[in-house]
Amino acid sequence: MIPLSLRFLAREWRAGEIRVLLLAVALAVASLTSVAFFGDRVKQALGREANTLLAADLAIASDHALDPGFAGEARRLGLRVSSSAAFLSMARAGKKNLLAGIKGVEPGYPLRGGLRVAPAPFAADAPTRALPGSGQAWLDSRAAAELGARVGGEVELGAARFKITQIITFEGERGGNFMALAPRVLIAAADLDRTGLVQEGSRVGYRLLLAGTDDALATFRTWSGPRLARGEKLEDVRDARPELRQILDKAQRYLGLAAVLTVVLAAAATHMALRRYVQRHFDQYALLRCFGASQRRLIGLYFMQLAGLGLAAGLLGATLGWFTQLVLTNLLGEVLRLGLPAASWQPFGLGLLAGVALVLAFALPPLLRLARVPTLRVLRREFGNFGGPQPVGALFAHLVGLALVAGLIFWQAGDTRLALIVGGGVLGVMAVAVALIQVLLWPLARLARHLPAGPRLGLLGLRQRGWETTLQALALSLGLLALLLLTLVRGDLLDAWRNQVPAGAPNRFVINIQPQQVAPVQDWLASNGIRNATLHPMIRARLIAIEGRPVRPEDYPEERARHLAEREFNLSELAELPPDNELLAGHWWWPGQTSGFTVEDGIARALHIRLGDKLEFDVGGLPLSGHVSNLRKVEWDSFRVNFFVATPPGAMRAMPKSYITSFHLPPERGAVLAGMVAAFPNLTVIDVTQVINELRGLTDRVSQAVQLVFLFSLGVGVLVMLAALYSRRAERAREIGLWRTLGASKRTLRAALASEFALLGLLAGLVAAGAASVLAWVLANQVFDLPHSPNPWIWLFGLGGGVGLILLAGWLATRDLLEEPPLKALRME
Amino acid sequence: MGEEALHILADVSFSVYPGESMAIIGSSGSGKSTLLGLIAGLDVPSAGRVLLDGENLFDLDEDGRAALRGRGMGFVFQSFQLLTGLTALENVMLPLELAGQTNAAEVARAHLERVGLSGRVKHRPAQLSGGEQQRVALARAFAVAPRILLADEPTGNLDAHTGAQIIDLMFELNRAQGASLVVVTHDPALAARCRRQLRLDGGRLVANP
Repeated sequence: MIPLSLRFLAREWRAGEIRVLLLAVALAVASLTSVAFFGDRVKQALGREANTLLAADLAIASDHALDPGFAGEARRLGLRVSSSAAFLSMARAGKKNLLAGIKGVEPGYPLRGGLRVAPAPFAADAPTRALPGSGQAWLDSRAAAELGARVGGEVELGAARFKITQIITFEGERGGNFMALAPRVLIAAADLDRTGLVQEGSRVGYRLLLAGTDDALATFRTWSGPRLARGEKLEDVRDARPELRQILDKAQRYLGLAAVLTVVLAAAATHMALRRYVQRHFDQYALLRCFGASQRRLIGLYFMQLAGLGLAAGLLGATLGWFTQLVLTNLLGEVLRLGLPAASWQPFGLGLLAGVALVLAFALPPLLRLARVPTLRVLRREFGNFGGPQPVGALFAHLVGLALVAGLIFWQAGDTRLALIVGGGVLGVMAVAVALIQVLLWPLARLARHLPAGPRLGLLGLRQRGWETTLQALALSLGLLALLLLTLVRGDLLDAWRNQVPAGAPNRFVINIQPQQVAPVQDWLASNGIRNATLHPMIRARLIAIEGRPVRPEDYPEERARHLAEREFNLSELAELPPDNELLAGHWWWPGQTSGFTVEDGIARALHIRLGDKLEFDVGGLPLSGHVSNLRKVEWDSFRVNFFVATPPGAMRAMPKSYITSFHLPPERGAVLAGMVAAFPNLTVIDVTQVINELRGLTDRVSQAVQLVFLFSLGVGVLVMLAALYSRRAERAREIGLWRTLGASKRTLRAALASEFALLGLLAGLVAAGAASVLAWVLANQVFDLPHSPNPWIWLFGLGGGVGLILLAGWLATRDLLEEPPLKALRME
Repeated sequence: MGEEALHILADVSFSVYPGESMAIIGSSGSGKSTLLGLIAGLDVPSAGRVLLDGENLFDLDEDGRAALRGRGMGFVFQSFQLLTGLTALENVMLPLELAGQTNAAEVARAHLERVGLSGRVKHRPAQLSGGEQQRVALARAFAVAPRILLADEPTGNLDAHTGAQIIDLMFELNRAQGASLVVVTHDPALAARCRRQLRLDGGRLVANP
């Protein structure tokens, strides 16, 4: 049977019969794989980008020197290995002392990303592959400025002296914690012993850094998991930098969304093309039955033929998809600056599988209906058109088809919730849309009577082909829905990212300002042109009781809560609600209020503090108590000074305190701070520019990647809509031939086609805009965790874009038909 | 139903002998095509039998009847029923391939030559005239060496001149292969060429010579 079916397939190919179908499926597969290929590469690149912030693909962090067995196993698995050890200690240069973050690194550090160095503090920098040699130290600009040290000079660490050979300006592996923010001194790990600073009981953070293939990393992860002792923790970038994790997660979910919607588009296009294919085979089926072929044999024959077709389309589509993403990434690689890694082969397999799955999923149900075509059709054509009840087998095949598409959706989404929402959403949209379109088509006949000949022909045509029109409008709606949905979610994402670190966000923190220095520091800042720098008092206090109950760490099961319960807080006084805070419950201070607390909502939840609770603090032996007046939500990533707990102004007048301030300093004015440190030697200036730049750089690149995938899916959506319109081409050619034979002018026919496409576009746009509004809202809330405000423009885009796009695509698909001689068109099959 | 049952065919009984030609004539709606469909086993009657070599077609299931058609029946239709995507040669090869014949192309080519279309084997139906299309259909019908050829208005879509040529060709082939021929037709000229004529009126046999 296989040779015969292949022969049939080859013949149909030569006849051009299946070229359109093959092309439609190949296009669908190409769109699917190119998004998958591209997404795969962007995902890998994003992962690596993030890994530069960890300096590795995977790390084990520990508070003690790690068993060398871990490094040994990693090397055995073919992973590259390095390590670092960091601690806070005093650095000395001449007479100046500085509490610095000392880090000793092994050769190979960093395994991901790189270091940048400059010849002098605050000078232009360049990337380097070198590391400090034995007896050498690299200082960052701040450490050099605060120690008054120069390149070529010396720095003392514990018992050892080091020669300063470089100023280090960039180091990926810098978490957001305080140790990482301290001025940096980088030395070789082999020199750590000489300093004598690392001893029993020293607080040292050790990190074993690993990089290599995903497989080897996964194996290592599994191997090491159960072997980790107390104080040892596996870290990948997700653990290391939660703020980056959020960005990457959302970007990956967006890629997933684009891929899922492409599956839906591909399914819609395949369905349209196959429906037509099977309809055209009714005659053939009846004839072959007439010639004596059994039902089983014919179904088998068509099944083989379609499987072969699916495989061919899968192969063609996957190849096409691979080339498309190649061209695309080459064109846009420069803009993206992500240094995309080679695509994996998985998307190619996906393409092949999708080709066969899509064809069989959508061909089986109508194929099984072929079994119902009476052989008598060879004598009476009216027998055996679509309609009537479906055989049980066909219903089952529909389910199998749906399951296959659902499988593809789940695979592509990489996120169950996303898959469920989009899959369920699309099904719901289809059900509502079918009903809506049927209802909207109903009054067409009456409406058409009052119209001129052209539009009347167009509208009546739509009305007559009711079910066919519904299907076509549905396919077009899905195409538009994908486009609108991707637009809406992309808008939400970009808005959120743009607002993440606003321009002019503070990039310097100054701590340890003594009460008597408040006025001089303010004067200094003002005379150096730094405005909007508010000095906040900072009082160290320990929470000892809530509502009279003593606060004990062991009462809290949650790690974070235990940690909060045992540490000292920084309290402050606030006159007004800060601009990046939002009042969630209670009221802001009454006029003249002198006691009470405003509490950040996250800490309140962790420590079970409620509005109105009485809190008692111990401030260096002095008691401080009051009731919770309100709860606040704080945007911590705004980079402004914020406090968990604050009192009204004056409530802590008698308490010991220091002051803190933050301000934005343009990069070119960085050197000014050397003057501040010189004028107020006790102040500590913390520079978060690098942290902010990393975050901003990452958001920018991720935004570009998202935009690119969006544009790409957009193109695919348009192509698929074009394919849907092409699927009725032969019938339309015959219709046009008939109309022209009956005397319709080209003008009338153009008007007929235009009104048909415009109405189709209107129907599709209506359905798509409604569905996109609802789904975007659900996705923003449930999957992307983004603020979403309804966008009324979507209706304009949906309706206007629907009509415009479908008019354009329809014109492209039919313009040459009007030029065909009517006789040729009538003979076309 | 409740109302009087509608009989499309009633009390129709006749025999066709090997090598014999027979025309089924009657006005539109008289039941001619329905009768042909039943003879071919394409449709199932509510009552009655069609015996082929003593075997009742309707004792077989649909697949069994299909196999029987494959072994012994040829068809010619009013609307030619050529597959538009295939060439003349491929159209003729189709039933041969289904029967598993290995030399399908050779046999098909020979039959196309017999109907005078050796120069048009690579042409598609749309590139052939109506008469030529019906010749291809004849070549296809006779290629399987049928014992009975069933023709449904074979000249209905052709002009008088071309129709006459097709009739000549059909009888010539029929004589050469010794098949029985059953033709449904309106065409008195065609009916006259057949040895027997059955006339149907309102689903009843009114003349069975």
